[in-house]
Formats: sequence, C-alpha cells, structure tokens
Amino acid sequence: MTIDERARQAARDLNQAVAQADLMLLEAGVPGEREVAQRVNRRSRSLVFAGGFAVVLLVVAIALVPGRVYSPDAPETNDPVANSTPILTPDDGTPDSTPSDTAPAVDDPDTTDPTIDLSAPELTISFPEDGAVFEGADDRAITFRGTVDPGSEVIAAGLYNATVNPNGTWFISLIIGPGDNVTSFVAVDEDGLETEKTITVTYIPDQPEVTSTTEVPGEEPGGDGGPADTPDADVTFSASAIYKESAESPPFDVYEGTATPGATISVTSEYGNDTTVADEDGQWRIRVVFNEAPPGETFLVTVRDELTERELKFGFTNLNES
Amino acid sequence: MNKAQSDHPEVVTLPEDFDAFYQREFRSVVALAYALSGSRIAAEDLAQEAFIAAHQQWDRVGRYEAPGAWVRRVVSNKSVSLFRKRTSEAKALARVALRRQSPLPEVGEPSDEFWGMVRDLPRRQSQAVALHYLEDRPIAEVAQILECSESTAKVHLHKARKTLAKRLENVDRDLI
Repeated sequence: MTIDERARQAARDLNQAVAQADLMLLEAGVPGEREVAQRVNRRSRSLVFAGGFAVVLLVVAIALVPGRVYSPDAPETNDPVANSTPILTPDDGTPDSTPSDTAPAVDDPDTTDPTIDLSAPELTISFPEDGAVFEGADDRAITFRGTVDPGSEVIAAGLYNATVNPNGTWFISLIIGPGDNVTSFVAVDEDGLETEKTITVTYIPDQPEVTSTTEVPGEEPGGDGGPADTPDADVTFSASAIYKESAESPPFDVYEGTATPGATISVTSEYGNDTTVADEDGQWRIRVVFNEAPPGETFLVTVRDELTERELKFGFTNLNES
Repeated sequence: MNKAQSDHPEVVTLPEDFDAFYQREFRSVVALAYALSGSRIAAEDLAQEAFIAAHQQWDRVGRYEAPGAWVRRVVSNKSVSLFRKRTSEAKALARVALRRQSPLPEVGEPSDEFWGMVRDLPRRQSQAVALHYLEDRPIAEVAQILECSESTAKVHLHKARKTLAKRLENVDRDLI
C-alpha cells in the first residue's frame, strides 16, 4: 500500500468516526442563527465552568505554564457560577486585524505561549544580490550563500537542500537557465516554521546550449589510436525539459537536446525511466511517463549522457490531482 | 460574479449566515482537530473554541472569501499546541464528568497509528498532511490555510510523505 493510499484510508476512518459522533451542538437539529449564538455562548459558559473544574485537575500544570490570563471579558458572565469562578481563559490568539478580506492574516494563536518558540527562522541571502546578471558558460553554476538560524534547513526552488553549517551559514550551487531565474529559498526550523525569500538572477549565455569539453574516461584528451567509436574530444551535451510539470494522466515530460551521434541518453527518476539514442546529427528527444508520481510532489529527474557521463537534473511536478 | 453583482457593482457583500456556515463546517473541523490533537475528548472543544471566536467576530470573518479557512487555521494552531490540547482535554473531561457526554468514537488501528505518526511530524508538516488528506484539499487551498506559498506547502507535504513512508516501512517490517 502506498503512502497516499494509507493516508486516504486513515482519513476515511477518522471521518467515519467523527460522522458517527454525537456532537453536542448538532444533536438537536438545525437551529436558527440566534439559537446557535445562544448555544455557543452557553457553551462558552459551560467551558468556563468546566475550566474551573479543570483547574483542580491540572492545578500544577497550569500553575507552571505562564501565558494564561484572568479575563474579566469572558463571554456572557451573567451566570453566577461563572461570575464566582476565576476564569482561566487560554489566549486563543484568534485574529483581530486582517489586512485583506481575500487573504485574511491570522495571528498565530500560540504566540502568547512563551514555552513554545514560534518565531520563524531568520533567513538572509548574501550572494548573489537580487537582480544580479551573469554572463558566459562559466557563470552558469551559481553558489547561493546566506545565513539562517542554526538548526534550520534551507530548501532551494522547493526541492534542493542547501548545506547548512553549524554556525548558520548556508550555501548551495544551482545551475541557472538562460534569462530570468526566479529562485525561492525556504528556511524551515525544527518546529516546521518557515521563512521564504525569493530573488531573481539573470543568465545571459554565450551560446544557446550548454557546451563542454569532456574527457572520455580511459582516453587521452584529443589523443589518437583509440577505438573507432571513440567520440571526439569536443563533445557537446545539452538537455532541456519542455514542461517540468503535467496535469495529464498519466503525467509526462519531454526532454530534448544534443549529444555525440549514437550516444545513449538515459532519463531516470523515482517514478519513471527511459532511454534514447542521439541521431546522426547529434539531436535527441524523448517523452518520459511518470506513472506513479504522487500528485503535488516535485521530484528530481536526471538526464545523463552515458557516453561522456555528463548529466543534468530537472524538477518535475505532477499536477494531476485525480 | 453573478448577475446581480454585475448589475449592481456597488453592492456591499454581506457575511454568510453563521448558522449555515456552522452547520456545514463544524463536523469537518472537529475531524481536523481530532487528527491534529489526537484527543477524542478535546477535539470537539478545540473546534468549539474556534467557532466561538468566529462567531464573536462574524461581521468581519463572515465577509472573508473563505471563512472556513480562517476557522481551520485557528483550530490547526490550537490543536498542535500541547498545552492547549491538555487544557481543553481537562475541561472536556470535566464536562464529561458533569454532563456524562460521550466523547468521539475511536478511529481504530491501523489508522490511529497513522495519525499518531502524523502528529509526530513537525507541526507545519502535520497540518499540511491533515488538510490535504483528511479534507482532500488541493495544494493551493492547503497553502491558503497555512498562509504560505504553494511551493512551501509542497515542501511540507513532500517531506512529510518521505518521513511517513520511512516510518511506516519500519512498522510494517516489524510486523513481519
């Protein structure tokens, strides 16, 4: 059973359990709004009363945890029991100011609990600067650097983990593509809180394709006397992913590029593999299906020239939620 | 935009009826609280507290594009807080004792074990898993509720799946 199947089974079981529950406010049918309001307010009072009882049960625990406040503004305090009972009201931290109706900001309800560190990790990008421009093939691999709260992870482009040193400095080398590259970096601390920063760097290539001089293993560069099928010393290998995501069923991507004529090009990933051979002009193209790719998940696809052992990596996301 | 709105663009958006909102959303919010708190006793109270907060601010919350997202965000944050879970559990225990109210039914194995593993994940990952699977929400909605980008939500889900798969593999191997 896959993790998705397991999760959906667990979700069904839990929803079924809740569906069978005799929930307090639903037991009397569909009330009007006023009645719901009254019930909610009555429920508030009952919670207050029960909260007093709970103080007895948890007196030590509650006494030890700061951040609880006596609230004279607890709802509907006409109840004599409620009025005579000190009210320990968890500061629910529900939002009281929202900048936008379409994207309501919510203060984290836990921000008043000093026993929990709820501050998102600090993240800086010291190199390159936002808007930096790089030119030439040598400048295509960029080492991004910065600082983050020690113990946090830094994830680049939603996929690649940066190396984070104990002192909080981080770095990761990424190969950028021609044109503007909008790259996001997400710092995630041990509590799962995250900070995201995005920068744009521009790459202006000398040539439209990636070209490299590659030594063939076991051969002298440029030497003669090798086997008849030994490739030239100057070998051009390039690869590009056409879509990088797919909402089709099954999901697929198309990869294409250049290589030494006759070179085998392999495409491998966790969810689909295939191979092809570069034609006599050194052109190659392949369609790869990722049958088992989980919806919403981005994973790594490696395109490899088996002759020169050069490889390039691409991300792929299955957008098909069905 | 419907016809009435297009004919009268100056019309003021009225908040959705709280009663209808409550009836429609309450049970699924309880399920979310149950998954994230792991407490059959506290889940209903956690959901109640979120709805009480929504009701008290309904003039504003009711005008949001997705008040359900607001309530879920509140209950998600409440449910993963250990202190609040224990406090709500204690209050609910008191309520049960006073009113003889039955708690939620048990989920049963192995799903209960699965949700236990979800709760052991970092809080944002556990919230993303619960919202994605329990409510069958797409990444965009999970991101909206968690107030993060879609790529961040994907990262949370990706890491959660990896961790869960590894832990479940260990459990299954132990069972053999």
